[in-house]
Amino acid sequence: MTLLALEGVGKSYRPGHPVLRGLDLAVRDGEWLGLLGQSGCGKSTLARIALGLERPDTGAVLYRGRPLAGLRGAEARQARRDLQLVFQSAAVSLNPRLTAGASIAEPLRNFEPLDRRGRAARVAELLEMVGLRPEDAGKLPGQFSGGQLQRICIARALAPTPRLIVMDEAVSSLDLVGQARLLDLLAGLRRSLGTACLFITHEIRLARRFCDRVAVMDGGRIVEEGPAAGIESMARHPAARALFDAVLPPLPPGMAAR
Amino acid sequence: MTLLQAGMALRPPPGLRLASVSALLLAGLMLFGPWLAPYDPTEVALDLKLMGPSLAHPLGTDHLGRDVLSRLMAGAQVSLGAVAAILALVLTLGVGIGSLAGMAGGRTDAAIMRVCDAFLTIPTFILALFFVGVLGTGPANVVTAVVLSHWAWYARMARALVAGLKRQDYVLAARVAGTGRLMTVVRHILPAVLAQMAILASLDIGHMMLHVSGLSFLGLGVTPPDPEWGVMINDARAVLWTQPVLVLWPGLMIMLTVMTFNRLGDGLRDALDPALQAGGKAP
Amino acid sequence: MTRLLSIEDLAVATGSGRPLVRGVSLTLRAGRILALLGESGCGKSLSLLGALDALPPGLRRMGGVVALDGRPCAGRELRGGIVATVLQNPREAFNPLLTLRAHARETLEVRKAEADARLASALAEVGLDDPAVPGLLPGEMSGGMLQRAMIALALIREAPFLIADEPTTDLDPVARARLMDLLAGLRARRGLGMLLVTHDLGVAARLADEVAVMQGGRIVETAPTARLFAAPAHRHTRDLLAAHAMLCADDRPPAKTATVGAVA
Repeated sequence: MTLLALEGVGKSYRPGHPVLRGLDLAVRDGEWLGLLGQSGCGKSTLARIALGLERPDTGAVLYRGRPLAGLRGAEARQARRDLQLVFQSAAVSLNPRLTAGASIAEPLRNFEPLDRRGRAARVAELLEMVGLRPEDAGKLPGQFSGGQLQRICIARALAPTPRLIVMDEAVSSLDLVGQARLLDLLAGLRRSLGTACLFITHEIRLARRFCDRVAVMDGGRIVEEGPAAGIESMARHPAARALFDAVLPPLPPGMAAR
Repeated sequence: MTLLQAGMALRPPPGLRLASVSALLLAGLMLFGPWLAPYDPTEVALDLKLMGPSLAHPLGTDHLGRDVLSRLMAGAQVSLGAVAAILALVLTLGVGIGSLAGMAGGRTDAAIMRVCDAFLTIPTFILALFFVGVLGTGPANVVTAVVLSHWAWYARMARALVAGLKRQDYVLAARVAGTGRLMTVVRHILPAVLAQMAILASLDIGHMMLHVSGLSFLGLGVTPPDPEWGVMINDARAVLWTQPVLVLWPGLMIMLTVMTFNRLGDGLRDALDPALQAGGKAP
Repeated sequence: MTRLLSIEDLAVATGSGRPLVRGVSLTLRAGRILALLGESGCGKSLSLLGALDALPPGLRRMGGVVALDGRPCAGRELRGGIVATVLQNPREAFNPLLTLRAHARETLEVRKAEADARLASALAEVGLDDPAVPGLLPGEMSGGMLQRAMIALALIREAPFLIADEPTTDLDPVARARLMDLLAGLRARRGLGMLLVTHDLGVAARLADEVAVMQGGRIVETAPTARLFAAPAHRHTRDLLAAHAMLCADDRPPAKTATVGAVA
């Protein structure tokens, strides 16, 4: 069943310079959809619109078939809870004055009827889930490395047990091994929680490894969409081809044949 | 909570500890000065005028024979109390109005900022004089006048801070986490704004003291015979060449206050800066 | 003339003496590309900064010799004229208030007309031949353009060596591929010797002649690229290769992709 759908979404910040033009995209329940595109193609704008943080100029965002913008009261709260975002830069998406525990507890405060003890227990559990120690709850963001900060952000996004997590280039700042480690962790959580993910990246190798389907964005639209396996050979649109042709070779020249 | 953490994480350097002690002493003087003073600060004794320091009068007497120490102690209530009141009001008004403008944006923001600009175009002292002229003399009116002439500076600063902070990813992240608008302001925006504003305010205290004292000096604030440091300097002017020490005492008190709060402002800035607070980074 | 830049037994430590980089030896040859590979925080950038005497405050170089064609020399003699550097985040390397032309004039202490001419030819070489480019401010260029502009500025000094610290990390794949084509072209045309710092084995596979693998402040293995990929000697190299292979799953034998299947 379709969890979140963008239908004919258009957005421009300056007249005559549309960022998105009539974009259609759908994420199914439990599905991992990779969204690829070159820098500046409007991926981050799409993420914000998909979460209802910005209103599209035209078109609509449908959450379980209902317009996101039209939801009120308890339904709006449920949608807010179900759709979570992990930002590109962990360092600036955590309040530097709040401890890691306080940041992770924030969605729990808003969505879960837990007392202080219950929240602390849940925070400890979430920290362990993302591979950090429960004691880390008392530390400030300045005391963590980049990869650890991103884990805190993921723990915060997982806290309200969302149905969809949007990862906006959320692992791009880490080295490739770090990215793979973090995604392995997410893939494991996915198996146990069934959370869907809109995985925005420009790293095709990661999308191919972790996603079910891949969509390629160019000029504010989706130009190519298909199953992650084999998308490279099937892609026809020039922008998609350029992206796939630019993938780095796995082995030095001359060794590839073996 | 963050303040508490900052306080605990802080092992203050000696200068800061000294400033904290001095601030506590000044606060004590402000609250209890009139009752601690050994003599009635307004009691005139012409036969004792302009006496040098003695056991009975450790800081001597002024041109009307009043005990200088008593006047200094009693005067603290007005001098420091006025500044404390001004600070509280200016911060509330400035941060409140500025945050409103910063959060609202658009026309509300523009309207509030134009009002601020109108206040900012006139030098603060002239503006304060104008308000005292309209409101009449007296300590309460001096406070009102200084607040009215200063709030716009704070509002502008708060507005700029809020406008910058509300675009931060972590504020957006709070929205994603389901935190309402008001709570977002309280939890994520105001602490950062207040930290900055407290630094500004602590550096501004000296300026405000001089305003209050200046207005008293002109005879618009506290009126004789009530003691106030600015009034004391004014009174001592007549005997400046024969008894310069009479200007020195209230002058020293004003200087001590200004230095104390400047140092506290520096300390506060370090304590509230999350980058400095975190200490060493994890490897 | 074969130019040879060698770094021998370099060490970097904190002010309190805690070692961060130890016993690092690297050799750059004209026309060859050496990749320095490792995870973030393993001391790659510090090694470079140490060799060039450009360490941030609080860190000290604890020894080691840097030699040009066998003659020992100080790091600061190398910067600019002998070794050009390209950084990961080009936006921070430019003064936001100066145009590219102003940067070139500042870099080259020659007549303005000559500086402008040399900049124009260097920009053409890196693929920025639009005549408007020299007049642009850093804020008006994309990350990929800035990276090229920085290489162009490095080229106008005609330095025989180029050190690039994670030059492709912040770029999208298309911009990254173009940049790597550019670096390969520069090696072919100008015979530049390059040190390419990267965490991406794909970058090394695409460009490098030789790879040095770094872990915990030490170089654990140095080998010609093909041999490193075919027969990694050190455990850490094998770990890195395994992670790399996992990401390039589609192109590897099925045995290596077994863990991937569980995800889909």
